[in-house]
Amino acid sequence: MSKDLLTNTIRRLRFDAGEMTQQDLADRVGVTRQTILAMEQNKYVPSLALAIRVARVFNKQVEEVFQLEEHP
Amino acid sequence: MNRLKRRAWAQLAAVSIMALIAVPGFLYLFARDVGGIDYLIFGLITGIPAGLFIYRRKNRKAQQYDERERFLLGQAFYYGTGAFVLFFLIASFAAFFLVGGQGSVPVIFLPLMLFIGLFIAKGIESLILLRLAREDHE
Repeated sequence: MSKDLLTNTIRRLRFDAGEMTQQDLADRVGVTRQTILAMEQNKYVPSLALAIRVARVFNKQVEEVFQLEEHP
Repeated sequence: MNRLKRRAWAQLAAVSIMALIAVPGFLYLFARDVGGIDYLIFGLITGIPAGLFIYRRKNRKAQQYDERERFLLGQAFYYGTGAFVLFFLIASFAAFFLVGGQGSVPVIFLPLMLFIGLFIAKGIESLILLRLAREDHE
């Protein structure tokens, strides 16, 4: 069984976007701040819809925000 | 304290209060050897407020949880249900092995098993939710 890991660059993108806070991002995508925190720490894998919403906030493609690290 | 923790504590408190009311009441009725209808009335008196409380909370909060919180609630419910099934299996087989296939158990054993199982399920669900929600810190 593979243990793929979905990582992301949300934290860096937030700081690049004028030091946007977790709460600001959470409000814009309609989740709690804890969910943004869990995503940044790779503790929660978001749904595709949420991933797209996050990417749209930063004007990026989904794969520019989320990366799949494959571990066969 | 985040809202998942608040929900878990509220649920744990509700289960504890229910147990504190139901267990002595149930034992009292059992000691007096009353008829089944008295148990039913007692069950309705204690069960309906608890049911309404849980239903109202669920309805009020349902729209507010985001996808991760719903996932964690689902995880907690999964473990609670697992605990219920496990308890039910153990209780059923314990009775079978203790009194044998031809033996008999008091009828009170059946609802008692169900309610203890429900208390365990909700208790485990709350504790698991507390554990999952504990990671919600920066």
